[in-house]
Amino acid sequence: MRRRIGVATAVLALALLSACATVQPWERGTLAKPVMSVDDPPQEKTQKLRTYKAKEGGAAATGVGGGGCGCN
Amino acid sequence: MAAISGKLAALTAAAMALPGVHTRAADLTSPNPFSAEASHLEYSESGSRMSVRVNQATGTLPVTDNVLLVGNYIQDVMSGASPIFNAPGAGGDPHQVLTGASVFDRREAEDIGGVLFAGDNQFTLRQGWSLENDYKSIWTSIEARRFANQKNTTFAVGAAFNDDGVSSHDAPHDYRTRIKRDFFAGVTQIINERSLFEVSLAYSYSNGYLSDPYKLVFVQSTGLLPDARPSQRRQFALTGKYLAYVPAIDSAFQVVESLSTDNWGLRSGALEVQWKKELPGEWLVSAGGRLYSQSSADFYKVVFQTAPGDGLHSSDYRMAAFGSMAWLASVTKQIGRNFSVQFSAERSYRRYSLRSGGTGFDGDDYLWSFYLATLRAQF
Repeated sequence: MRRRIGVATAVLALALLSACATVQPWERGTLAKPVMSVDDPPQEKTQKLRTYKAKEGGAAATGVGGGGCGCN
Repeated sequence: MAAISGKLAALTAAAMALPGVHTRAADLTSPNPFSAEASHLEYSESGSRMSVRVNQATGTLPVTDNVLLVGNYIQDVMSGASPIFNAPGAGGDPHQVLTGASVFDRREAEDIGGVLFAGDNQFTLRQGWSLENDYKSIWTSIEARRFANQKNTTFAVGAAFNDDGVSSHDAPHDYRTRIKRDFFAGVTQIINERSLFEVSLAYSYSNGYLSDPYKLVFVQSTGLLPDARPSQRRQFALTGKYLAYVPAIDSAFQVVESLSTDNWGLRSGALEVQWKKELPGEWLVSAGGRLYSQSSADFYKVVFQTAPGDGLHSSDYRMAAFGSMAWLASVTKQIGRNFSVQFSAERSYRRYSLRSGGTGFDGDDYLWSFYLATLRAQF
């Protein structure tokens, strides 16, 4: 399973990277719209991830830091 | 003209804040570099189970053109009942046994950090503390980002170290150690003028006391035993995110897929889809759904006939096989140039029937929901 995740990551990243064009800064008007924000707002993201972590057994690759809790 | 200039400035600031776009601290929030954010969250579960109230405040202060300081404070107040173990019923069907509704705890957490911008690189160092009646945590994290390919690509790596102590209400000063190390790598790539993707990989290694001091297991031959899990856990996770703007409906769609596996035999998958749209009057709305599924841990059983020979056993509902469906929604209103207010909500329905392998039971099914209000300011 670990090897599959690693291979899937590499294949996906390479496939998507090869399909990308270089977008110049002055062509990024649409990407700069608020609806195109990659992340949820910080506090919303913190609370969502903490809830998932407390109520589910799985994990997600969403960054590092935040500390543990005795959540039940 | 003034309104157009204001919107242009806001658009420029937003563009500079894009991953893969921003460069220096002064550019991040220019022309309003100081920011503050406060939120209140109400979390509740169905029946008489847990409810949590959370207050959070965050402040960002630029020290120089290249250095930002960030501080964060969280206060949680928890109360309600929590599952302890599963007992066999009169007809043979198990049922969940809960604590009384008088469980009460309070948690205070703080973290401070610094962000350094150096050319096409960004470094973040954070130090955090957390304390509640029966749990304490000290953590440190470091993260580096590099903006490449004319800022079309962002590479990120990070690591964190958690030193936690776990006790219980019965012996509040008898802390048992739990150490966790997190490693993270990711890439964000602009695909074209209307879409981008992000792929991230994470690995965590935990050791020490990883059991839950409040959980028990019911063993037919001997009665109740304390929850006992392996003293080491290795978790791998892969998360992919795709975000695209669709001009025909003037909206954006975001798809996030996460997969994880660990040496406890627990595998999980989550799919989240969101629709986002800007409305006249500086409103932004979003709505979506999340589907989650996991298999059970190797040492999980609803009830045990005999105690396992390896001494590992748990009936914790989070180690069971289950799935969940959730809806989520958010609305944000920009108020002038300096303030915005946001309301967001999520409601999740846990269902044993949505499991992805292993064992569990529908007596664990419940729903949780949260409502979050956030006020942001930039000066």
